[in-house]
Amino acid sequence: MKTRAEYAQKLKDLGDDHVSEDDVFTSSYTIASFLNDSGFSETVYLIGSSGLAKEFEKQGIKYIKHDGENSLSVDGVQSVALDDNIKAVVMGNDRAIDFGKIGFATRLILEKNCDFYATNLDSTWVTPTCILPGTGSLVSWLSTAVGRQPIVAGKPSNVIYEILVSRTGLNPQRTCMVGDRLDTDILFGNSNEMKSMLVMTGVTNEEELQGSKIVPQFKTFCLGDIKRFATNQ
Amino acid sequence: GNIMMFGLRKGYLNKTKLKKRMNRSYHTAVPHILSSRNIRQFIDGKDTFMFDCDGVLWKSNNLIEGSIETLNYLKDMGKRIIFVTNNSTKSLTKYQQRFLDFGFECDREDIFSSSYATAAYLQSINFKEKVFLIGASGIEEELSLHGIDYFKLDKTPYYKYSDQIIDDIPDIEVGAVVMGLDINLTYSKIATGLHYLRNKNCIFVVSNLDYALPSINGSLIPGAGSMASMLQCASGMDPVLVGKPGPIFYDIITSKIGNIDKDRTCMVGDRLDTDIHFANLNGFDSLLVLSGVTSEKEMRKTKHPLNSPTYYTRTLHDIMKFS
Repeated sequence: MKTRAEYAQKLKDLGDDHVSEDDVFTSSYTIASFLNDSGFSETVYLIGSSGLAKEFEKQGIKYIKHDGENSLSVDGVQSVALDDNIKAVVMGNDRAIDFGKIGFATRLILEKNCDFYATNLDSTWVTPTCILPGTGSLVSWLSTAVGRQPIVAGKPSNVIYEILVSRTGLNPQRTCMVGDRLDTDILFGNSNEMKSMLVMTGVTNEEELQGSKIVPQFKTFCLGDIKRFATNQ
Repeated sequence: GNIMMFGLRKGYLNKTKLKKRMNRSYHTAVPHILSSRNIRQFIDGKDTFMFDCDGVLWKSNNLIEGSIETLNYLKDMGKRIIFVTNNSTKSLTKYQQRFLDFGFECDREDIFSSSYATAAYLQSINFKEKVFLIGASGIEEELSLHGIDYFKLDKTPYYKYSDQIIDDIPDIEVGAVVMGLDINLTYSKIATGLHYLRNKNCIFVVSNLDYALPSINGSLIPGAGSMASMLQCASGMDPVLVGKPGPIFYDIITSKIGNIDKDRTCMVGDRLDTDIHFANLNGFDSLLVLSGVTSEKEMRKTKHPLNSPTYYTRTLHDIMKFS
């Protein structure tokens, strides 16, 4: 996952003249901000990408992450002493996921009663060429093992909503969430008293929309329609 | 917890058969503690004892005190001893050797592991296609023995870009994705399984759904069920569950050893949602031993009627000590 600055740069490169880092809210930023806002001062066990780790570093939160050389073996997971300073497990997308990481996190949650957070619970990750397991599928390895669901930072959770409001002062009634996923974007908009608009250029097709209980307030084929309709093209 | 039990694709078990089985299921009111007062009646009332292994006979590599002596004690009395384990990592031959090393002689035919059951299940539905396996050598050996064609991914590199994962997926017609415990599980293996499951004709089979396993230090580590949940979540498919408490395991056992007298059979295990549920679902008594993952408190707290045992005791050795 990219950092806020990287996302802003990507948009700038594509021609967005108005965007800045402060306009970008990622689930990594959200979870780190949430922990800071709630006075968290201990250490986090991180499972996720380098982008997630960078965000925690940027926000001054101490973390431990296993990768490559320091990854735990099956025996190592069971015999290693658990650090008392670790008070939370935070999990994001990690394509280098392994038994060592999940096993260590399992022990932290069950033996040390650590808090459990996830960046998002998307079951799949849809790319232009393929469908891959999403963060939600990876998180279920841990949540099923410990018999507990995580607090989710990203959409549709209101954790990201609270962070948004506190950082931007937005008025929900004059805010519209535009997205392509019903169970994250649209649900997020609807359950936080914002307006919601579904675009059909992503994962949702007509059939899914008709069959869903989640109803967007607005719908259009693609984002560009907004300008086209507004300028009568 | 949620146990996904029934095959929805190739329809191994239809709804009517299921209802018949459930109506015969055994609901006990309050579990009875085993003691020297009821032990004779308990032992004399049973001809067949089914034993779970982890948490009953041993914990990891350590024998639980008195367990092997009790097995030999019951065997000498002429009782039928059968082993029914959800552990998919070892083959039957390895299990037989393990029992021998510990001091108990038995036939391979008396041992039923979920690895064996998985291969036997595929054979029973006349499965002739290729299996993509995410699991350990136990399932591999049993698949080979049952003449089922399979392949695995052994070393999967870390891919920087998602497209690279797809490019490396073998372009093979896969009829089933089979999952058991895999301590070398990687993102790529799940991505590959997901890719094959997107074909409507590909079935999803799991050896067992035990969410967590007891670890060496007395805590829990992730089990096969937690691993399978990744593929369940990503694919949106419920797998066919072969192991306890699924009805398939019981059918596999009886098709090998013939019908057993349920009134004179007892399942001995340490897990409520697998061992005890298995016994209740299939209509025979169960004995919960507290030497494994379940505490007395958890036994009393359980809300699911099929998870409540007929009897309970501290450890298997009590059977011998009380009589």
